[in-house]
Amino acid sequence: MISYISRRFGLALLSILGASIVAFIVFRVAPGDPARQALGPFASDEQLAQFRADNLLDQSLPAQYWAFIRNFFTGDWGYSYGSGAKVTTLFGDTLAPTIELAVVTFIVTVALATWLALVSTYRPRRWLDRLINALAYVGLGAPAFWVGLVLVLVFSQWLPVLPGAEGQLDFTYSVPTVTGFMLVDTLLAGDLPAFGNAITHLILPVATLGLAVFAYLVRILRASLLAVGDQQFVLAAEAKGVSRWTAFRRHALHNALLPMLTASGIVLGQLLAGTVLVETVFNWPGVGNLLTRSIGLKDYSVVDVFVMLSATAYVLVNFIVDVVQLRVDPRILQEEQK
Amino acid sequence: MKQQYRFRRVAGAFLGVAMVVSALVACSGTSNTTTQDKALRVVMATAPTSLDPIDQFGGTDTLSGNMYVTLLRTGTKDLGNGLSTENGADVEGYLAKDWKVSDDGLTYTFHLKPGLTFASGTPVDSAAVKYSFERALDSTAEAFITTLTPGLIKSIDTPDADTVVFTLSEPRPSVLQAWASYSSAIVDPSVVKAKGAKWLDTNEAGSGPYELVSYTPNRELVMKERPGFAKWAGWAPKRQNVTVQFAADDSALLLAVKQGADVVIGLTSQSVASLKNDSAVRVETFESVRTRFLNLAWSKAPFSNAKVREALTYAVDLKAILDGPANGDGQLYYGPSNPNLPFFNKELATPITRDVAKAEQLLKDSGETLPIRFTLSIDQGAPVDKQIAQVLQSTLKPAGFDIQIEVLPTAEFSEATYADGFQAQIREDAPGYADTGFYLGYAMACVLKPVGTNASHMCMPEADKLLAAARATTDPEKAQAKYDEITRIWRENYPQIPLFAMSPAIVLSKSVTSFEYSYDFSNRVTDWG
Amino acid sequence: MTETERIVAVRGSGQARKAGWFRRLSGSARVSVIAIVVIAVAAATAKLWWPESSDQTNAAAALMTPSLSHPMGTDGLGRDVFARVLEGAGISLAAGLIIAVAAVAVGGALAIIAGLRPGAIDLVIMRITDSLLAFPALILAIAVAAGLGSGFFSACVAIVVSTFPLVTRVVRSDVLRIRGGGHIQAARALGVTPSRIVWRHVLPHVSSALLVQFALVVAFGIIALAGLGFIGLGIQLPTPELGAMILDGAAPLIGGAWWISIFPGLMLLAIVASVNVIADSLRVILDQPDELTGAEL
Repeated sequence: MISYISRRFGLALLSILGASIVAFIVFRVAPGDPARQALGPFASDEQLAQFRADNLLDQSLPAQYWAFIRNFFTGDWGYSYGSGAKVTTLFGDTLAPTIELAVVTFIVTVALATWLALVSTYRPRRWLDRLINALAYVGLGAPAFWVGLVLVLVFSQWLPVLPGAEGQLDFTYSVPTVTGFMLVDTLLAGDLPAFGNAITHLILPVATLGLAVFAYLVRILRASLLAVGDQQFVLAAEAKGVSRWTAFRRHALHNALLPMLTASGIVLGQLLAGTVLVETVFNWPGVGNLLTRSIGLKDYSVVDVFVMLSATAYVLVNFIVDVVQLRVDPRILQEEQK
Repeated sequence: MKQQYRFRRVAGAFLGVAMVVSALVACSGTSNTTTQDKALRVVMATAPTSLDPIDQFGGTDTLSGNMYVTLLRTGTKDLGNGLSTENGADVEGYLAKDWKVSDDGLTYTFHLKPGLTFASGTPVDSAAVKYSFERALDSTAEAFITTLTPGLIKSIDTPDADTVVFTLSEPRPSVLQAWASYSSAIVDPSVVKAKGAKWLDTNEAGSGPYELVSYTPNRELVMKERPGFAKWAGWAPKRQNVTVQFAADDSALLLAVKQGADVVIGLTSQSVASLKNDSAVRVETFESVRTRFLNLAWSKAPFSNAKVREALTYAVDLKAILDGPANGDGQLYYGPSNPNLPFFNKELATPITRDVAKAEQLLKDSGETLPIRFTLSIDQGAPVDKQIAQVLQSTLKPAGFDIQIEVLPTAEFSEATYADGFQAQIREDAPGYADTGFYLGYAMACVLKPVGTNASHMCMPEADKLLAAARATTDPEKAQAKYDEITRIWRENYPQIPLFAMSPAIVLSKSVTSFEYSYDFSNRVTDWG
Repeated sequence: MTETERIVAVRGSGQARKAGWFRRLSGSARVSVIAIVVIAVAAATAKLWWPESSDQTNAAAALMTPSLSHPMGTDGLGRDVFARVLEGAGISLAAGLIIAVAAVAVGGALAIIAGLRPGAIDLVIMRITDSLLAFPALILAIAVAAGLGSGFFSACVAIVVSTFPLVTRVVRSDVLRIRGGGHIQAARALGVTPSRIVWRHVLPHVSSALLVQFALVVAFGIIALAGLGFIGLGIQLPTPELGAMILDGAAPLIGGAWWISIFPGLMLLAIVASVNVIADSLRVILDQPDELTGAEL
């Protein structure tokens, strides 16, 4: 068990290292350098050279890579020349809104997908199956940013019931930033109307980000539940006199847990990627918005950190999922040993 | 059996949550009366890259003019209806209560108005002025302070705490405009020495009418009236509290309008057009010193051939561009500098009338193979350029031009601009302050000294010589004659195509009664309210 | 036969046979194939039967609501949205196919090499694949596209780079399973050339996986291309790419002109949903469970 875990961890670290090489190559190899963009038209050649030296842009690639790795893992992320601020500050300001959006989306979609999957497989109904399938295909096929625009159009313009592309809170509210999570901060400030407002601002972004995730999860869950449901032991359990629900719960649910667990790791990746597109549509002040802006400016410091953070988070979460799976289904160890 | 009820209970729970949420939606719909209502809410399209006055080179909205003082200020021109605009030709005292210029034009003596202090307690005196100017001379802002003439400032002397004397290497009347611009801001020497330059990127060490309350880069900047300023200056900003938010794109700006933001700056003309019928807001256009250019690279084919440049000039459908993507917000002209810059001559700089037949003939005479193929580079960060490029592409085809559009990310576009890496490009340009000599000193210069952008690398040596003479002339009439001659030479060479002089539209809410427009993004908020 | 019986009969057959593949697909998959063919043909022949052009600007006709002459309205420059959506659909389909061919070719080749040649080569290939899989696919695509600069070619390379690793992983496990079967050792012992081994013994068995992965990459590729277009990377003006059209229509949407963004998105939805339906049906026929979770979709 320990050796399995430590081996997986070792592989995870190797992946992160490999990812760092990929991230580094992708940005350094491309032509064009940011010195001009950063300093403007009136910078002299010496000033440009100074900028390049300060940012190590004139050193050899391995030297730059080493500095990049060292700086990333020690938290020395440098300065963004798109805004003059420290990159750590920029991420500090923007991580919380993105995490809030992602976490709320995750909870809502997992709850909804699980419930719908259970309802539709326990006692199958044709119309429900059709509806869920249709919704799933829409979720898989419609680009998230388009879904966002459609929802804004319908629920914010045609039927003006929800806030549209307006960030986390109506501008008339002013709430001091304590944690960075708007839901928490409004409660801490004791401002209930602001809390309510923050929730309404979350509805459309969560729906947009969550649709694709929901589609993916509900299909996996239904497939797992259906597959297990077909098997003999469910009939056997019923024959033993245990209720259908108990049999379903004990065997179907338990075995469907494994794919669901694996899926959660994948879902993180989808959420990370989704925020990049969805935040632009809703003017959500998060990391995705920061990234989109930094790409155009070739603001290496910001884009590098984002890419590294995503990879690290994704690998670590999937590693944790692997370990938890071990607890849930020890058969994995046997498979590995074969 | 039992399980159906279980599922129904869960369904009920979902329904309950939905009802609570709808209740929240209904309740939170009405706005709250909080202190935010009194603050002026400004939304801008471009965020500053730095709050340090010497790190701002135009093209992005600056706000430091509100947090720092300068020796001088440009005057305003009243337009009626509570609107006014910056008047670049008129300079008045600010930190300096008066000044004297020697007869030979080489010595400027400023007498400062005493009594102003920085937040740290340091007085805003001649030592602070000398420190700030020397700091600027050692940075990329040197070009602004010296009107692009290296070595212009021979010395800065401070005979006493309230007097500063500048000695120049040659006469330069336009230093008055230069020293009224945001790069000449007076910073607190004690703070800058203690905290370092990087600190100024996201903080403020000034003594202007507003002080910085908070700044979240790319998101929000909050200012409030600085205590003690009104007493010293004799006037106070119209609004005590100002919140400035930076919006990523047009849809965000439009939303800000719909939410009732007081001032929205930077909407594209097309989006502004969609607001024409909205009675809840006020759309005002202001003439500016900004122009949108179609730059043609002189250094390479096909535009190294003057006849091809001439042909393109006659083939471009300027009206289609002005009426379409620009929504009519601008004016046409054909000359070296924008109509709102000093020494512009309306009679000489008349716009070219489109003549496709003449263009075709010129192309035949040029000796180049037809159709003329070239790549038009545009900045990804400027959505209106996408539209202009597409209009150019379809309207120039019949004349014999085959255009390939290339959209570059902002950093690459900048790189291409300065490294002569394009054949044709669309680019907005404007001088950092209203000085034609300064502008042409880099936009037209054969040899860039020391720096600046002559993106097309155009070169008309006669014009350069005339310009140097014009800039040193203290007599305005003589200077005008020289600028007129420059205009004639410029027109004969067909160096670039000014697509239109921009008249940006600002959207104001009905509660805003006064607004002043300042050139080139410098945003003087003190008169907004 | 009922749907269930048909599925049961088809499942477990392991391989698709060339003849009768269309009949083997589920009902909705058959509809999807027809839909895609119709869209592709319509896009390819648009110039023949639709009078409006997709790139002729006309300031006077800007932002017109949908009508008979412009079923999808006009955009900010007066161009017909229907013509642009059709052309964009053709481009997306073509691009999706090209990307999928490249991804499956590269991924499959690497997987076969890694599976057949254990040791150092396998290790290197697997480490590279793992490193690339450390990123969520779309983020890797964005990073590579941003690094390579804008343009159709960079976008395609970026998407291929972000999709081939999964193909490699899936196919490699299939190859390893085949190796365990013993055919390959036997063939080698008999002196069969390596290329023949690949052709006759390996490819037939991995073709199912390759086919399903192909369909999935087409779907992902089209969406990723649109996503890159929405961020501003990817295909160049004035070529109408559906994602870029949605981007251009975002501000007009807030101003009231909803049709510029909505219709391109509907077209994307139609295409990608159809491809996904086909992919699902292929999964059932070819017995390919979901590669990441093991669920049998």
